[in-house]
Amino acid sequence: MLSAVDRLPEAQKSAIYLVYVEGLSYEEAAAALEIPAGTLTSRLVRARAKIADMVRDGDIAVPESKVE
Amino acid sequence: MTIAEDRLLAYVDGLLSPEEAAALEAELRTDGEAAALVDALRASDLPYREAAESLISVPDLSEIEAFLASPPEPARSGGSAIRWVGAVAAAVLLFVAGIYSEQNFFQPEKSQWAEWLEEIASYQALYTRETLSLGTPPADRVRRQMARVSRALGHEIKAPDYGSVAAEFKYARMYGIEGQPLAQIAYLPKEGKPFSLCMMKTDIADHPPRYAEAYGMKLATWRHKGIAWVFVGGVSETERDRYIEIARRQIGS
Repeated sequence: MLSAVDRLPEAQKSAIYLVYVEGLSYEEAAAALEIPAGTLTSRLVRARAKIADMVRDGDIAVPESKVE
Repeated sequence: MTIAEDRLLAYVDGLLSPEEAAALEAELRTDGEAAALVDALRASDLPYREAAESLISVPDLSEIEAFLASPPEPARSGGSAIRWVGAVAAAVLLFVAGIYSEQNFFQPEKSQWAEWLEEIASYQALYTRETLSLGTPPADRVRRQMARVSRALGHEIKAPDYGSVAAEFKYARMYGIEGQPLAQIAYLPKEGKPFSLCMMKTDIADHPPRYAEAYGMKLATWRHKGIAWVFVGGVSETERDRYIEIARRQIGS
């Protein structure tokens, strides 16, 4: 799963890392990256959409708890 | 799409109040494009943190230490598996795995080491300049962090000062490995990728740096007065040698 994140562009990878691994809020992550909060959430949305594509294409092994 | 993306993201991440969520759900019923994006965001709602924290399981640390002193048989996956949490452990493992690799220890079979390498490398790759750009800590916080490191390792550890090459101290963190303390000091150079110095107790005799490379990262370890030091960073050999020389000069090794 993390290797999939690694395939994202650097800016999106940093956003994903700070929010979903380090646990920063959107505002904290935006401040850390010195970007507006709207830019941060836009990067997160773009990144999450790409990850969703990878899940759909079977490029990411989805944890069993996520399988419905 | 008439609904702002940040609202959709906050909704999927569970950050909206029940009232806000209900209002958004009502809007989603008439906005197919937004509903499709919500589906995508839900599909990518994955346990990123858990994946990062649980990806590294290794044999007992003492086996690794012993191996570094005198390479044994190829590592097996059994025994008292422990969990190493954090990039520091990854760095140390990268180094160890690099040694194994250099000595062709997992050539006969693609062992668990190789699989770990792939996982570890993907974790390490998450670190970018931006993820360490949280500001330089004030001096009193640095002192507290280093005091914690010194207490945990049983030796007075001073963070090497890389001011001469414009690399900033970012933090010192402790990690636990079945009671074995492992410290990481992270630095961010003015340009280029971050690097770290890692430390743990060792009973192995002092030795000068030994070098390895794995997944684009330069690694080196040396031992000095009961502490095993590890350098890890995505740097050139010249930079690696300069950073190591600065650290060794300051710690007197």
